[in-house]
Amino acid sequence: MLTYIIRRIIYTLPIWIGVYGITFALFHMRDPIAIARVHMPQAPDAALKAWVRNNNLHLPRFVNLPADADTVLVDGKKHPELASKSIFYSQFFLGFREIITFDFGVDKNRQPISESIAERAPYSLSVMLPAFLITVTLSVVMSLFLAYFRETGLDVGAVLITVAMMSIPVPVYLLLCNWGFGKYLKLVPVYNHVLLPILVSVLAGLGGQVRFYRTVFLEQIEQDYIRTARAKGVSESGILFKHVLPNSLIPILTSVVMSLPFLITGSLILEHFFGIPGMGDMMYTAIYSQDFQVIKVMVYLGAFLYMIGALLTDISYILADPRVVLE
Amino acid sequence: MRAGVIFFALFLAACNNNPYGQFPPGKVIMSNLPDDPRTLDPARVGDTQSNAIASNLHDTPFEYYYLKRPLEIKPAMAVSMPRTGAAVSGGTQYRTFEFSIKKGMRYADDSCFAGGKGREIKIDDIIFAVKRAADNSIDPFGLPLLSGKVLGFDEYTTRLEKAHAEEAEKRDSSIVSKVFDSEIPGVRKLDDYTLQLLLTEDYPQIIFFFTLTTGSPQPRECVEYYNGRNGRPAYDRHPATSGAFRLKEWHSNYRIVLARNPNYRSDDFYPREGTEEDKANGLLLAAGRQLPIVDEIWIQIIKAGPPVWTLFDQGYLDRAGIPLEVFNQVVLNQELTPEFKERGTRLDTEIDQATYYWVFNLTDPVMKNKKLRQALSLMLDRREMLERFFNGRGVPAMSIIPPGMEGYEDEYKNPYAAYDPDRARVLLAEAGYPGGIDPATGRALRVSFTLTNSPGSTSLYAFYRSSFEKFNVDLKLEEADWPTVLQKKYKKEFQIIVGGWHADYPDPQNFLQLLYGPNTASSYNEGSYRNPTYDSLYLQMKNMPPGPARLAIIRKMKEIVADDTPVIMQFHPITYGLSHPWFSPFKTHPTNSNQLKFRDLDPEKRKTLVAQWNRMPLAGYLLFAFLILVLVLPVVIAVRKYSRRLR
Repeated sequence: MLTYIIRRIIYTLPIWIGVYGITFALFHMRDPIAIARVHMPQAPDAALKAWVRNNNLHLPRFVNLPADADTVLVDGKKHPELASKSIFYSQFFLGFREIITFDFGVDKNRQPISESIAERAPYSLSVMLPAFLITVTLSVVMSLFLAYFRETGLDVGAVLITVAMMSIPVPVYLLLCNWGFGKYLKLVPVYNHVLLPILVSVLAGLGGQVRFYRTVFLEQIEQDYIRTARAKGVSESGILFKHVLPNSLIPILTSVVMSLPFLITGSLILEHFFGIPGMGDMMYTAIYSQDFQVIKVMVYLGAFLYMIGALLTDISYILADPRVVLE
Repeated sequence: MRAGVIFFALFLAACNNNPYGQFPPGKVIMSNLPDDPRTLDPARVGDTQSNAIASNLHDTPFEYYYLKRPLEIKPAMAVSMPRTGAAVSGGTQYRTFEFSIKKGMRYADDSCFAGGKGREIKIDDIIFAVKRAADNSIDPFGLPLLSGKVLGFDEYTTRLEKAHAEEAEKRDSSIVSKVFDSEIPGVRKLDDYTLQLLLTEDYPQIIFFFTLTTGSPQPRECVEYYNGRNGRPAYDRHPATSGAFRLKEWHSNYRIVLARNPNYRSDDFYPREGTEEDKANGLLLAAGRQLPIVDEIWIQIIKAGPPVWTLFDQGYLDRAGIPLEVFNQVVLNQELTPEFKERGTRLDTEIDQATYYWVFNLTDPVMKNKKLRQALSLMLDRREMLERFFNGRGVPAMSIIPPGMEGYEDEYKNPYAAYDPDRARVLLAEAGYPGGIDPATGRALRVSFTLTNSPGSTSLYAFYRSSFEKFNVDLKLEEADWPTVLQKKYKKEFQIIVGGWHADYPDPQNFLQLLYGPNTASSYNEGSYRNPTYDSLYLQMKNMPPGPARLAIIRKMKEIVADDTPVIMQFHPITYGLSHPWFSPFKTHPTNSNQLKFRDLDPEKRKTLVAQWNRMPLAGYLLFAFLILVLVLPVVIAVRKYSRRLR
C-alpha cells in the first residue's frame, strides 16, 4: 500500500504544477503597477515602483534571459544584477519555491498569510466539523429509517420534503434562520456565534444527503443477497444494519472523505454573514478587497486539498472493502 | 417525554442572544467597523476607517475644539498655539513655524520601552514623525502636506528612497537607519520640547499636519522594535500609543479593544463652554470632566450589512448608521418614526466634508469642447437621483467646496450644476451636436463613462444612462474594478470618470488644489484641467489666512470652475446616525477623529433596556409547539401504522 500511496503522490505532482501554472497565469499577467496601486491607492509613482521592486514583481515572468539584465523593467530601472542569477530567477520559479515550502508571503495589510491561515482554520473547523458530523449522522439515520419504511406514505412524504429542502438555496436558509432564531425568537446571537451557521449548514445539506443515502441503501436492498438473507429469516433491522449499511460504505465514503479536507476552508457566505473569522471569511475579504496574493493562495490551497481528499478516499476504500486491492 | 420538556425549557432559559455573552463590567462602548483597519501606524493612517481608531490612540500637538463651529484649532500636547516668524539659514530667509510640547507627558506602557514603562514624550519623537512622513517606502500619509514646504524635506525623501534601494541590494539593515540619524535642515530641535520648522513659503496649513494622526509623536525605538520580524508584530498592528486610549487587544477580523490609557496627560477636560443649542442638546452635561470618560471601547468587525442593523436593534451596538433597505422604516420626513422615538433612539445627521463629482478628461479631444461639458452637466437631475437612490442623503453640490468650509455658500447657484433640459439642448447644439447627433458618425453622440462595477448599483447606473439618453447622448458605461479605474485615471484613458474627495483638513485649499493645473502630474487633478487665471488665483489664496479677502478670491475661482465645467458636480453626502438612549448626547465632528474620549454611556440603563428588548415573544413558544406537532406527529403516526403492516 505504501508504494501505492507514494505513486499516487507522484501522480499528483503534474496536477499540482498545472494548478500552479494556471493560478500564476491568472494573477501574474496583470500590470504590476496596477497591483501596487491596489495596495497604495494614493501613492506617487515612485512609491508604486518601489513596491513592485520590493515584491519581486519586476522580475522576468518565466525565465531570466541574459537580455533582461539590460532592459528597463516595470519598476523603471535596469537590473544588472539579474545577469549573475540563474535562468530560473523569475517570478514563476520563485513563486513555485514559495508555494512548495508553504511560505505564502504577506497579504495587503502586510500580515503573513501562513499565519493567518493557522489562526483562521480553527474557526472554520469549529463551524464546519460539528455541522458535518451532525449532517452525516442525521442523514444516515434518517435514510436508514426511510429505507426501512420504503414505499409507504412516510417515505413519499419524506421524499417530497427532502427535494424541497434541496431546492431551497443556502441564502434563504441563512436569512430565515437569522430572522427566525436571531431576530424574532431572540434565542441565539446573530453574530460571532457558531450555533446559527451550524444550523444553516445542517439544514442546507440535509435534504440532498438524505436523498443520496436513501438511494444508496435502496439499491442494496434490492440485491440478491438481501433476498437470501430475508429468506434465511434475518429480521428487517438486522438486514439494514448488518448487510445494507456495510455494503453501502463505498459511495458513502466517497462523499464523506472527499469533503473532509474542505472542512478547514470553511464556507464563504456563512462565515461572512455570521462573523466567523475563519478561512471562508478570509477568502471573502480577499475577493472584496482585491487581495490577489491571498486569492492565489486560496485557489492553490483548494486544489491541494482536493488532491488530498482524493487520496484519502482511495485509502479509505481498502479499509472499508477487503475486495479493493491497490497496487 | 417529561425529561424532554424540562430539557427544552432549560435550553430556552439558557439561551441568550448577547453576542458578548454578557456585557463587560464598567463603562464600555460597543461599536463596530466594516473591516479591520488597514493600519494603526500613525505615519501610514490615511483612510477614514483606520483613522477612526488610530486618532484615538495617538495624541497630537494640536486638535480641534469639540463643540465650536466652524472648526477651530487649539493646543493639545502643545503648550500654546504655534509661533510664526522668520529665520535665516545659509544666507536665505525662511518663515518659521515653532511650538513647544508639554513636559512630563508619557507613552502608554509597552515592552518596546526600556523596562516596559512608557517613557516621556520628547520633541525628537515629533521630529521622527516628520522624518517618517518622508519615507516613501511606507506610503506615508503626511508626505504631500510637507513636500516642497519644509526646507530640505524633498531631498530627505530622495535620500531615504536611495537608502532603501541600497539596503535591499546590499542586505544591510543599517543604511536606512543612518539616514534617520541625520537631520532635515528645515526641522530644528531648539530644546528637548521645542520644534522649529523652516518653511520655504508662507504656509499656514502646516498646522494641519500636527492635528492629524500622522503628526503624532512616534518613538523610534518602538518603530524599530515592532518590525514584523522575530515573532514581533509589525508597527501597523502594534503601535506605541500616546492618546487617550491604548490598544488593549486586536483580534483580526473579530474585535479590537481600546482601553483607557492610564499614562494619558491629565490636563484634558470636557469643554465647559458651548452655545445655547449645545446646552439644550445636553452636550454640556459632562462639562469639566476629565477625559477620556469611558473605560473601554469594543469595536466589533462586522463585514456583512444586515447583522449590524440586527445587533443595533437588539441593543448590542450603541450606535449605527441606517442601512438603505430599512431607511424608510426608521426615518420619515427627516424624523424618526414613532416606533423608534418611543424607544428613545436619537437621530443625528451631519453633512460630510466631502464632494462627489465626475471628472472630464480634458486631454480627450471631444471633452475639450466647453459647451459640450456644460450641456452634459445640465442633463443630470441630481435631486431625483438623490431621492431615488440615496434616500435623500446628500446635498447637490454647486461647487467643489463642501459645507462647513470657508467658501461654501448656501445661496450660491452654479448655472451649470442643476438640471435644465432646455439649456442643455441649446448648448448641445451650439457644441456641434444638434439633437445629440455626432456629425462624424451621423449617430447619437457616444461618451464613455468609467465607473466601478457594483452589483448593487444596477438601477442607479441605468438611471445615469437614461438621463443622457433623453438628450440622445449615448453614455457608454465602462464598469471596472477599483484598481483598473485608478489605473485608467492615472493613464488618462477615459472621457468621464467617477471622482470624489474627503477633506484631509477643513481648509478650502484642500479641495481647490484638485483643479490646480500643475497638480496634473500628481493624482489630485485627475482631469488635467488647466486655467491660468484659476491657477494664479489658487497661488494667491492657498497661503492666505481666512477672511473677506480670501473669500473674494475663492468666489472668483468658483465662477471660473462653474463656467469651465471641468467636472460634473454631484453631491455632498450626509451621514445619518442612530444612537440608543443610554448613549450620552454627542456632537458629530466633521473630521471624525479623536472623538471617542468625549463619549459617555449609562451601562445600567443599557442592561435594563437590552434585557427588556430581548425577551422571546410568547408567539415563539407557540411556534415551537406547532413545529413539534407538524414535524414529529406525522412520523409517530406513520411509524405506528406501517410498523404493524411491515411486520
